[in-house]
Amino acid sequence: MLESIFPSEVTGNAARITVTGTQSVQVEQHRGLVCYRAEEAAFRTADGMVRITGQQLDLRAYTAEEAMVTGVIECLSFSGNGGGRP
Amino acid sequence: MKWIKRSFSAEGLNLERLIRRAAEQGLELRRISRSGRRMTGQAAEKEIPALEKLAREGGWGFSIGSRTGFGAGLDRISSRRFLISACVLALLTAIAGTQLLWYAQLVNAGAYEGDMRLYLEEVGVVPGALRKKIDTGSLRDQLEWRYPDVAWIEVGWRGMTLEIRVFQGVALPDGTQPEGGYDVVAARDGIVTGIVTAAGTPLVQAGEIVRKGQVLIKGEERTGLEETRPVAARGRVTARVWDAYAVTMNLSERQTVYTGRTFRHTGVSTPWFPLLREKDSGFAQQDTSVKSLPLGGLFLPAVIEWRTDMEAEVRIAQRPAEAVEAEAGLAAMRKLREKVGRSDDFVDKWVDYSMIDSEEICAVAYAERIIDIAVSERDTQ
Repeated sequence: MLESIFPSEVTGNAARITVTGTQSVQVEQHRGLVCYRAEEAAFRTADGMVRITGQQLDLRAYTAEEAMVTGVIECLSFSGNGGGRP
Repeated sequence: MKWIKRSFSAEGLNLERLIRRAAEQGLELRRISRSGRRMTGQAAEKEIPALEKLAREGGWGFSIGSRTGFGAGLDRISSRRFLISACVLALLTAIAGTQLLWYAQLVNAGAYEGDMRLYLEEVGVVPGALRKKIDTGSLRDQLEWRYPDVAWIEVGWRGMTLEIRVFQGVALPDGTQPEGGYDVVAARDGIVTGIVTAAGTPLVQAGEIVRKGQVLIKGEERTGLEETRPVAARGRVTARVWDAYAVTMNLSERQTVYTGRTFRHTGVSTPWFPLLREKDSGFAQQDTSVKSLPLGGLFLPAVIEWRTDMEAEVRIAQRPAEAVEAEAGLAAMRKLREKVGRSDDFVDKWVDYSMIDSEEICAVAYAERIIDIAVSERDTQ
């Protein structure tokens, strides 16, 4: 019933990823940080792994539900199937 | 206070795990940056102990840094308490200073300045007095009452300065003439209809006939029972005056009458000499009409002329007396208006006619006006 009213990213578990230019990527509803280096940041989501590569990557903000990666974003890729929290 | 942040650094393997565990415990991390095995970031100051405990339990090295952002500002302010206190004190002093009178400025007070300053001190209008206790309107009224010779006084604020501007006015010229007064005399003949005396003693009244040059207002005024003083007489004396202008016109006029005989001649001439000699009509008196046509412009400056001579006789004709009267009357009135200069103040106007030797009619236009005939004797000298 709710799904008929609200979009799936609100009611479901799917991650919502917002890319702003090449400066920042916001990942909402992630399931944990898998890897973080200055050149790479990877998050587990319900739909699989989200991998962000670039240079001088910072975690501008990080909470259990939301993460903001800033820096020079070069690539955003998805891989694998979703899973639980690492 | 969650908005006061403090920096931290953590060091060790698998720092991602520390980040995850912190997030799972509800800790919010900001500005995380990683370089090799070392990670720096910011967290709310009150969450730092929990984060530190988490790091120690996991075997990560952890160190707490300084406050950042607003918290750092608070630290800087708290380390400069004296400066902040001085600024606050200066601000409060400035605010308090705007509530006080700094200076009372007198403008154009002239001879009254000393007394006015004493009076202002007396009523409490001195530097340091509270502005709200100074009623500028009331102060203005008091000063004007105190100095009746002053035309008027303006009292107003200009910043923290109370500006009191004195207008002493310009006195009318003193009519007293030490060497003797001046009379007001009549500029022309007339019958006085009214007199308003501003200075001096009136000598005429309404209804009197006055002549040009007659004294209307004497240049002296009584100062005691038997004493008088000379003054420059001034006043307005209105009087009925009359203007006239005469125009004479002849009853007969010269008329040209054509007999009907004409003489036509065609000739060619140049600017220097006639090519064809003109012929004479032989009429004793004639009017001539000439039509010309240029032949070749500048290249051939010759002109063809067609001349018509019409024989005429000059006769003396008598005009109707009524027509001559009307024409003379109109002409006289027009010339009278030109002489007077304006006609909108005419009280009355008329034209008298008279016949001269049965040959001419004389029309005299009259206009009656009421004007000011007073003129100062000084101006006539």
